[in-house]
Amino acid sequence: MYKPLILRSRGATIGLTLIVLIFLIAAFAPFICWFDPWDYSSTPLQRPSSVHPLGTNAIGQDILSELMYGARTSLTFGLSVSAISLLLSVLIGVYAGISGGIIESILMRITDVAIAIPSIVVIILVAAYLQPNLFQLILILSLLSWQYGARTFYAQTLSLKQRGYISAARNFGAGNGYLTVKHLIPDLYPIMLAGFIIRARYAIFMEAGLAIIGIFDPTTKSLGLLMHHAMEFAYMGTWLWWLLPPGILLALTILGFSLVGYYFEETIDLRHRSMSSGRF
Amino acid sequence: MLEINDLTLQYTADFVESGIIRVLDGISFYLKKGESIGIIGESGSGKTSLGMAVMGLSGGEVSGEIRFGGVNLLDLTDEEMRVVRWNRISMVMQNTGNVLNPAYTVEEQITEPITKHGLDSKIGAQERASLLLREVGLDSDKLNAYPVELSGGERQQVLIAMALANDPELIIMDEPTASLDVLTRRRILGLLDRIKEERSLLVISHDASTVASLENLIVLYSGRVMEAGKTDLLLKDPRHPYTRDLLRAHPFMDTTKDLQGIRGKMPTLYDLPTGCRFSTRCTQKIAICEERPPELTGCRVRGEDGSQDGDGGTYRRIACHRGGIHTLLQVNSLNKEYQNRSRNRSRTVAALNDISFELQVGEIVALVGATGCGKSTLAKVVTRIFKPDSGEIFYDGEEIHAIDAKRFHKDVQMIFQDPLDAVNTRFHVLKIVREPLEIQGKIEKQEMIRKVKHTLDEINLPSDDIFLKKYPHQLSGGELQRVTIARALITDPKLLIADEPTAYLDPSVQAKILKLLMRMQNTRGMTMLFITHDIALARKVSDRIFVMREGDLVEQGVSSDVIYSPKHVYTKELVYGAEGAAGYIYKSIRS
Amino acid sequence: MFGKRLIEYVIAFMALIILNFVMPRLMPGDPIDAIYGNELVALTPELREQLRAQYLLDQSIWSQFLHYLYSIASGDLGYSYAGKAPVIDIVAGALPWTILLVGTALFGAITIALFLGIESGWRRGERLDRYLFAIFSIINGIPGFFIGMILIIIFALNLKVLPAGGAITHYAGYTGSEYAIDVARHLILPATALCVSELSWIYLLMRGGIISVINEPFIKTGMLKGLDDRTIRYRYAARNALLPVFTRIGIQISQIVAGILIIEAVFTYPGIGYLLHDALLTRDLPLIQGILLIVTISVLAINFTMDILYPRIDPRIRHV
Repeated sequence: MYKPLILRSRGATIGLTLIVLIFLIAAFAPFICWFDPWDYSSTPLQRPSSVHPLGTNAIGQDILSELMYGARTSLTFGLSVSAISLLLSVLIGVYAGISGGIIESILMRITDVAIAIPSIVVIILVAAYLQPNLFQLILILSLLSWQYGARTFYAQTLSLKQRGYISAARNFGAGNGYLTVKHLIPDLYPIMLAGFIIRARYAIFMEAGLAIIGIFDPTTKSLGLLMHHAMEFAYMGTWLWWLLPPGILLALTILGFSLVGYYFEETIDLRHRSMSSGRF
Repeated sequence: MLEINDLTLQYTADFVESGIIRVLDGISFYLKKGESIGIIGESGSGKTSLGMAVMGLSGGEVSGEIRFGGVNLLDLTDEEMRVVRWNRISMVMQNTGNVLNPAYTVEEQITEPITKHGLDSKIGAQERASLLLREVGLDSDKLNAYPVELSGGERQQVLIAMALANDPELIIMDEPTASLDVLTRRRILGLLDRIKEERSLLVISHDASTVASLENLIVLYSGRVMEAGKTDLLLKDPRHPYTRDLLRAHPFMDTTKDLQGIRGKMPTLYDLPTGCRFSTRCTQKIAICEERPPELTGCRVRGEDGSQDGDGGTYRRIACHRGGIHTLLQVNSLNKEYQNRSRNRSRTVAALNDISFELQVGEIVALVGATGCGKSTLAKVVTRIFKPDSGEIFYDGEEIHAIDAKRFHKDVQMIFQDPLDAVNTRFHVLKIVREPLEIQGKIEKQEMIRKVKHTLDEINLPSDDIFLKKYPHQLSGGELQRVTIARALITDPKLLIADEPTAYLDPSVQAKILKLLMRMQNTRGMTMLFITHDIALARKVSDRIFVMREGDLVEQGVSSDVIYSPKHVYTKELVYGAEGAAGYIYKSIRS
Repeated sequence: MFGKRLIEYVIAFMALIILNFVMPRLMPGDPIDAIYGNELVALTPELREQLRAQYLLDQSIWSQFLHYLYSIASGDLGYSYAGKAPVIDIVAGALPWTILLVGTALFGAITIALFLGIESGWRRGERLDRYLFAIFSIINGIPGFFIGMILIIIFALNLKVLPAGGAITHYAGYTGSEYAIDVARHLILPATALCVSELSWIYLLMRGGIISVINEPFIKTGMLKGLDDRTIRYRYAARNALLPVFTRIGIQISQIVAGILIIEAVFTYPGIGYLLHDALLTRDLPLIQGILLIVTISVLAINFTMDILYPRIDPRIRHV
């Protein structure tokens, strides 16, 4: 029976399963939950019961519902940031690589400077002033995390440009646009896929981190916010059903992306090593 | 000092059916103190693995014996082996970019084995390092250089200096001249010559000229020794078909013939032939070659003076079921006279006067001589067209006149000077080419046409019906000669005699026909006797050259010898008289 | 090479300064409102006038900017009305705690990670390597702050052997060695949490680095030279696998900083991370700006130092 390559790696299989499960929870949250997570009509700080399997929070909201909606937000945040910043990385990296000349120098200089700036500082600063909502925050984080990827795609484009089939296509009269669409981008798919997974992992982690520092949109339900609130009441012994579930769910999500990410990094690394033996 | 007995190295691999990959198989040789030995073979023949096995770093399963100074290294513990490494045997790895540790200076890397093995203090080691560096011809200011700052040649010199650091008795060198330019290469080879005066040296290379100055040579193929013996003997007169083919593919400075690759591919290590490893590419294989691998045994040596190696392989050993390159045609004391009737006097002229020679399987021999020297007569005698007055001709061990005519002519074919004369002009191409098959008989018509088309394809002629129906006068000279070549090849001959096959052709067409003949000879592994009056042509196509004058075979020898140091006066005349820059150069050198 | 890098750092620094300067002025309304509007301070007309004069808001944008640059250069990062002290003083009070925490945690993380990474990569596929790799792959999937939370729950809330937060026991009046022990007890949990979370990825990187050099010819050269295993492992393999690891640590520094800020917030550890957390809660913007400026300067300084160190780690860099 045919078995996709990725499923032959135990780690990647576990990772993929985790991602799919959490994705299902997130996607079907509205259909599974029997409480609106924003509904604060229940008694606050209840212990788990058959009505509230994970109890209620300090203002009487059902924690299980919060948890599932939280997974939804965290996943949305992670995947959106990843997709947008990946797009920016590819555009800038490939464009700089293929254009050469002044465009290349300017773009790569900007990238280098952006790498030097600690992006967390800018995020906090901008967030402190703007108090952004979920979508603005997605945009801000995306705009501040393209630079590392841009370097990678730039370097890859340069090395692909050296390949024989690119010169051959140029010989046949192919322009930059054609080369980019027909050769470069398809060649970069594996790296893009790995990049997407790794960024998604990072963005999901950042969501929780920002929530804990206190700059995530407080009107949403996210795993980080849930943990942030739970931590304040941890001393009351509520951590078992309040803090632990979002923590574990978050850890499993990040673990899922990590495991799949390792798989891609390893396979790409192998492919590259077989293409060129040099290390640098 | 180093004695290797029945050394076998194999790795386990789960992707192979048998579960093992055998890299070295029953290797035996010895190296006396102070002697040097070269190991040559194509990449993948197991050369480097052999070096690594001696150092105890090959991994895998090693069996057999590696005796060094009386001790079997395979019995030593890791700890004991560590003391042997570099102190008693050192190895210069192939000079690739990262063979030196990129993070340390040259000095640190040379002194490292000295101090780590506790031979000297740091200061003492540093002094020795600078001494060694000068010994290998580098400035001592290179001591503080990092490997990236060295050129390829300098890196090789550093590697050698490093190998000398602990004053070992034996140095193993892996491809010491690979990817170096000519001058650096010469410097390194000079260095090797000096090193081998003081210690034993084992040099591994794919390049025969690197090992040419060493005393002994081993030819490795697919993990087995094919031929071993004194280097000069092996290089001058290879007896194993593989050695010959390997040398043929190598551009020596004095090579005259065009380079030829070895036909076929080396078998992969996990799919080795059960018989002789070389049998898949050999031009003289017989049934037994595919059944079991041959043992390495002593062999007959044709010395300069024709003397033989009496003591069973001191000078040369060979692993071949057929005892080395097989003699396909042996001609003993051939005489042929004919009457020359001029004016009113008739005079007996010796067309062939006591001619003796041998043709080996798979070689091209050029028979050079002026018009009327008897070379065409010789060709006709050998092909049974004429009968000799006296003498014997053996084809594959049988007297040719005792062989059934059909069988003989299936194996021995001829290409003639004048293609138009050599074909029946009333025949079209198909008829011309299939004629030998019809004569041989026992073949279906469809099969015959298929064979004709296949052969035409092979020699780059059209094989469509239009071409098949063309008549000789519709073809150009070159095309027609190709047709006659196709006709000669269609019976899969073992011996092809080409009598001035390009004499009637333009130079440009001539070049193409020659290339074609050489290619066909190589892929089919035929033996070829190439008859020409043009010594310049002979030197480009032949492994050996025979020179004939007035019925006498005045000189025979390896092409480069005949061209560069002709012995007979007539040969000298031919060579120096040859037109072109070469002849001019020889003249100016001689004068 | 250094020149080019230095220019990049200067540009990066200027970009942040400009952002700091522009943000309040970009907000709708008076920059004074943007900066102080949400504070608990009552913006009396007198105070407003005083601030306007202080920031030269009546003058051109250029003189405002020059004035801003001048004040930063002279160490004036503004005044925190919430903390009722100059920003620079508040940050200076918190910085030593952060340095203590980060220093301990990262020193531990890097030493242990490199050691385990080298040993594990060298024994690739053996039992030790398989276990270490599995364990750290999983830990690497867990956010550091969650590790911290678990530690708090286990050791502070349940076992009650270590304090849940803070850096010292207030009002205990400890002195001398008692004080030192108290500081250490407070340090253990946050430092462990930070250490473990940074440890895992550095370990994975080092292990990968070792595996990628293990087949390099110079490793064989080392073995041929009859050197002992440890020499080959450290002088040959690790030494050459180190540079990519350090480069990655440099690239990851922004994420490390994020990790530190979050851990301090979780442990209410009174370093600048917790300070920032508090400032964000109270929207004490002068303090936020000040903290971020200090963080930026530290990060840029660390990165620049690493750039200078690279060629010492790997001589190949000098010749690229």
